[in-house]
Amino acid sequence: MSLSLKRSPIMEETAYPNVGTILGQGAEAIITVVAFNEGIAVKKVRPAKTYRLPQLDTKLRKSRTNQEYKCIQRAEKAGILVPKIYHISKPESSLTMEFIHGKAIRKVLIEYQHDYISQHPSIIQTSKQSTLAPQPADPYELTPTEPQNDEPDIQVDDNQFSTAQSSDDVQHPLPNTPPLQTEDEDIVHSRLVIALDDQIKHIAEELGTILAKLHDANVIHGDLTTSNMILTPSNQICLIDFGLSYASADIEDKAVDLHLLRRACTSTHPALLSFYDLTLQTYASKSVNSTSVLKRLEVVELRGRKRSMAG
Amino acid sequence: MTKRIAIGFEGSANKLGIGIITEDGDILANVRDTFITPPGTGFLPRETALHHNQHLYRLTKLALEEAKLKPSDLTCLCYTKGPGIAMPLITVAVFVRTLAQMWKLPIIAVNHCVSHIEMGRLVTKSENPVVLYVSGGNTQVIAFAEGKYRIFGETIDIAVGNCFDRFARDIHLSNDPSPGYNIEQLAKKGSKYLALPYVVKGMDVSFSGLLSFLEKDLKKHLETGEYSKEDLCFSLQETVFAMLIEVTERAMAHVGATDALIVGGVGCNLRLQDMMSEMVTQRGGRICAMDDRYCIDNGAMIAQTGLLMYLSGVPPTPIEETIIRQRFRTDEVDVVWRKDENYDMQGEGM
Ligand SMILES: Nc1ncnc2c1ncn2[C@@H]1O[C@H](COP(=O)(O)OP(=O)(O)O)[C@@H](O)[C@H]1O
Ligand SMILES: [Mg+2]
Repeated sequence: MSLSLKRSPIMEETAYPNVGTILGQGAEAIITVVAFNEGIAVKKVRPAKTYRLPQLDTKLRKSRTNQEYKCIQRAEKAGILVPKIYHISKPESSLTMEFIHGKAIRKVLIEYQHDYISQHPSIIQTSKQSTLAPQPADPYELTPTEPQNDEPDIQVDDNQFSTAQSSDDVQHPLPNTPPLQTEDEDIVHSRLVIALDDQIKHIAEELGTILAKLHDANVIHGDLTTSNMILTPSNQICLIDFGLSYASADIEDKAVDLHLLRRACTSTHPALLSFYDLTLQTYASKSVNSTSVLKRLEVVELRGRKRSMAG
Repeated sequence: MTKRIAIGFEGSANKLGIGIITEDGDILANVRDTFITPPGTGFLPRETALHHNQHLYRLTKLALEEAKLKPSDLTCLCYTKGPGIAMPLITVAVFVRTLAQMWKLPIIAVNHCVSHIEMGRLVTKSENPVVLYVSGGNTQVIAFAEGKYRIFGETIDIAVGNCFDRFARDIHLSNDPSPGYNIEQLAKKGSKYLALPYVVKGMDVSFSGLLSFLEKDLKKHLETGEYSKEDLCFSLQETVFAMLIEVTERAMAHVGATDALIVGGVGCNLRLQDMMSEMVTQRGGRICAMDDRYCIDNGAMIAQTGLLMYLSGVPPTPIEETIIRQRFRTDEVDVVWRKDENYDMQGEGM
């Protein structure tokens, strides 16, 4: 099903922000608009985090600013749209870079979903009903609304605790006859499933292509959330926030990178999982190493599912 | 109408807890017995199940006595379906099945992680915090969105509590009251920082590299006296907690939340709370104070969550479905009892 949305994902207003505007106060950095060569630029400063040990803090801020600088340059060489770096200040742990006009993919997807829901309000109702759908009537009539009868309490004798199974057992709720354990059910991330329109599909394909290029250039982004991707007015995707990036040819690192994207999508856009699927599918068809990376991705995801969660 | 009251049974790990709570959130009883093993050892599934088995009857009686209630005053029985260790979970589930049939009460199967969060929300009155869930088996950064508690970040390998427990065993710390508590006490006396691998990937963290790094030179450090046990505990805490606070802050920025709540056993650590409080205050938010009622595994939190489910119309769990699941994930549960389904998350990004 493809939807024709009248609104373009990019906001109509094209005005550039004023100097001094704070664009973002993420977890790590403060991003402000600064004047630069008669135009504007973005300055990303990593202020000290007083909650952690000063020596750890200094080391982290330095290395991340450095890594961000290096990896943006590597990505640019690989033909990926990234902000141009104008200046790096090591003592201040800051980068001054090109201002990218556009809208975070996160917002594009959230607005798309919002519009979709307001056009199809009934889908929310349906998703709720399926959650609270009455289950088959309780076979043992244990509901409290049930009037009390004079039936004697169920006697528990040793026999009933035996593991021997007879077809009869099914009729009697013995403490150890019904199965006691199941595992590995598929997670239903959302009962709400929203179809992608052509524009969103295009974004997913574009993203898959970019990530393939990035990984083929042995750059690991390290923080692939939809907040860290800007859709420009010309419908290109600019990758930002390389603070956790590093160079690596290791398929494990690439697989974990994709795993993080999946996590970001399932948590932030659970109803739009096909966005991630399409991105991955495109990645698979574009990246030279995709077979081994995707195989490892399965291992990474299985590892997460198999981990003991006791305690 | 008389108040509805739930009893909750928790035994997913080494703590057996039974709690009774009313629909107004009054905790009428919350009793617990912890299976403590000798220093240098961890708790084994079979022994833990035996421990629970030994104390279930006594604790149930005690809880009812404390609450001054008869079984007929109860509305429903709630038990931990998972996640956790199979044998102790099953022990408790079988007991609850039996009680349900004797007392003719419905059963509600409850997710352990969701219960920590619900209890935290009840006790702190925080509407929509980002939750850092840190315990022996779990390390997750959670926020509510689109009808579920969604996992924004988690450990890629071992849980933080597991990492602490293993290190406590390496240096032969006592398990009483908990290995983590004893690490915290030693860390207070440490001052020399050993730089450890700091691994943050997006909102995920990894501790296994850090642990093996620590273990690799442990003997050498202690023998040469270059780093004392205290220094190593200090370094471990500082590194691990900095990672946890960082990913929590990432999640807060990402979803636009101002409040943070720490749940799970590691949440009792005062250093972790201090760091969290510093981060959150700087963001203009509030940290929900720690409280045993939702940090340490207990029965009241299971009762509270089960009752919320029951009252919101979630059908009781038919007895043949009162199973357990070792890896019952937080984000599998449909949180139908929360009115705000939160389809419009705020947060960073233009
Ligand atoms: N070059 C840029 N041009 C325009 N906006 C930017 C640019 N860099 C960052 N931003 C905005 O600031 C926000 C935070 O920046 P980011 O680099 O992701 O920092 P953090 O590491 O704190 O997440 C981004 O989500 C984006 O909205
Ligand atoms: Mg960012």
